[in-house]
Amino acid sequence: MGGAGNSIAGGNVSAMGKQPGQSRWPRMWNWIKPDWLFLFMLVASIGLPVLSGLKTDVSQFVPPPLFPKMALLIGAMVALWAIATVGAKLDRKHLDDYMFQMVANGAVIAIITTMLVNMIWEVGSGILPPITRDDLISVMMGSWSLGYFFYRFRGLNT
Amino acid sequence: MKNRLKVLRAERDWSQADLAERLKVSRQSINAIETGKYDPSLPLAFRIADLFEMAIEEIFQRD
Repeated sequence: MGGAGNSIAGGNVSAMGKQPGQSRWPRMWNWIKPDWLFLFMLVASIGLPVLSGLKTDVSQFVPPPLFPKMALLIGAMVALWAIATVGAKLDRKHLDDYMFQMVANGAVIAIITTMLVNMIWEVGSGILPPITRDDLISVMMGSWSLGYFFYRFRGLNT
Repeated sequence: MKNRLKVLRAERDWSQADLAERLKVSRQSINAIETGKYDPSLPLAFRIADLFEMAIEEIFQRD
């Protein structure tokens, strides 16, 4: 039952330190500390709409031609989707599974919240004040942070 | 899911940080598993079982 005979279990923890083969990725993440990162995002999500509200002038908005806009959007989406997919794959491979699950679950909450906010503002466009791109990004960042902290404190099994 | 991780760790006089280092995960992961806030992935469950030289079902049980 004891760890005797097992090279891992029998190892001296104090001597383990940084493993030679240990990737830089987890160490970098340990240094960043997701808690601080998401706390910063939460604060930024509150500040962004304030800054956005100071510079937004909806009356000067001129809709761009549809075709170039759609081509640009689709091209950017496919390119960034590929980068994000590779990034998420690297995260999953190298990060602590617990942290990855909290970040990923928080991201799902953020996507749903952002879509719902956008939908509500579309439906209530006559009553509600106009919403900007920065506002939606701040909603996404804020709900991602709140989602992360929810799972951080309540656990992933809730 | 219930688990005996805390007991097994205490039997060996390991801190959460010690166990985390041996399993190459964060200390928060160990704390979350012990408090039932997180069920480990199958690869991590196998690593835990290998470390304690036990079968997975001897460490993790259904509620």
